[in-house]
Amino acid sequence: MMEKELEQLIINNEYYTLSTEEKASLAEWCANEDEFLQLKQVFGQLEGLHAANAFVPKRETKQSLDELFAAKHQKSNRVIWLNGLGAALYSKEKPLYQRPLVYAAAIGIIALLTTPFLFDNTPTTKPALAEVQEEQQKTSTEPTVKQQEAPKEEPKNFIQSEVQRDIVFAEAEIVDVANDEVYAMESVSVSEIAAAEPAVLSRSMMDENWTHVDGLHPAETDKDKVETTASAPVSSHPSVLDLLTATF
Amino acid sequence: MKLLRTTYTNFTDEKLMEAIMRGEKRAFDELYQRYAGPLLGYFMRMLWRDREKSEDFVHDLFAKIVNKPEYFDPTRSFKTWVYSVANNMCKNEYKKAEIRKGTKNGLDTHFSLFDTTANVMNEVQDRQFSEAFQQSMETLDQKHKEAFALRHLDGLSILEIAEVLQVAEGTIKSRLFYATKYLAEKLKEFDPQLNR
Repeated sequence: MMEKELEQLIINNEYYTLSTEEKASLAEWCANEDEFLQLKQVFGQLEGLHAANAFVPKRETKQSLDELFAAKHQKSNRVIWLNGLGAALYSKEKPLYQRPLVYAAAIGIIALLTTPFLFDNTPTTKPALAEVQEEQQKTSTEPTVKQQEAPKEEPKNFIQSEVQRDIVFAEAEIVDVANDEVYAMESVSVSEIAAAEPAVLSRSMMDENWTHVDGLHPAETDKDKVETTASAPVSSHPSVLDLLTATF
Repeated sequence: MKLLRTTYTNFTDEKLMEAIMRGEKRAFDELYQRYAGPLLGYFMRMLWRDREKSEDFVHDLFAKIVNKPEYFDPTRSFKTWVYSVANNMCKNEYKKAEIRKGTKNGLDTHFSLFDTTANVMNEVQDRQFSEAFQQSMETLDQKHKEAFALRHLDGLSILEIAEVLQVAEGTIKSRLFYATKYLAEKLKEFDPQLNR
């Protein structure tokens, strides 16, 4: 029987529970019950003693060793790092097809070969709308030339001429609407508002330093194109107050 | 490619030594954490419970690991190797002590902290048993003491002890048997059952 098994047999059993075979195997170690108990006590106490004897070295010992280690490996740190990087990327222990550097090279080649196909979406023939837009840009940059040349040249196709004509009409309408708006804005002038409210006129609305103390309150005012919002307290206009009271 | 930091807690002692040879500090920290305490205990038992001396020995042993890690043969068990080194350091210290003190077995009698004739019959507490055990260990001769300590306090197997001490397994078994019987006889006073 192994030494360890003998120890466990002694630790885990009482002498009177041992069989004759077990006693025979222990005969060399203990011939009687007293010797058995002696061994049992020693082995039992050793387990507790092992835990109690847990030694912890001083911190200074470790610090000194750390300094020693740093001094020993300080110079070769960079080399080790580079070696480690090289070994990681192109490890000679692995087969060729499993090396990360080979992976990267393969991915690069695949990307290089597939990129032209992925981004090659230029059409062989221009669609009609693109041609029209191109023509439109030319007309916008050189309008007089186009107008002069238009009667001389035959339209390439019917669609192009129709779209171009629609665009010209649309631009003309936009210009008309813009002119109407400017006209409308100019039609409501400050002088008219001032004439409607002479009490407020005493304060110059166009004055830079004008403040709206119980008078006209300008909204977003543009000096070039005046868009003015007029407001005044009801107390200064009894007629309006009468109208309000009569209405509600 | 390694993207995560290596965890050394799962490494074997031998793998840690390989990492130390590459200059990896955390591998050294892990190895120190595993063996510094047990080796300090070993030196304490073998060097007359001289704490300062034992600390110095632990430092010197790990300094050897840092400076000359190539001395370790990776084909061997690190545990047996490191205890072999520790045992050789103790033997050298015994020789020095023998020269200094002129004692026969290298043990300085001033380091014997325990009175072997002390009457301990009236105290059966664990602490007292521990002290008596240390006392009895000190009275063991060196070869039996180191075998017993490596087996029961450092947890080495008989085969490992044989490698550390470079003797046959049968010899280790014989030494263990003798040491156990000796200690049991010395410590029998502590068992109340035996005092009936």
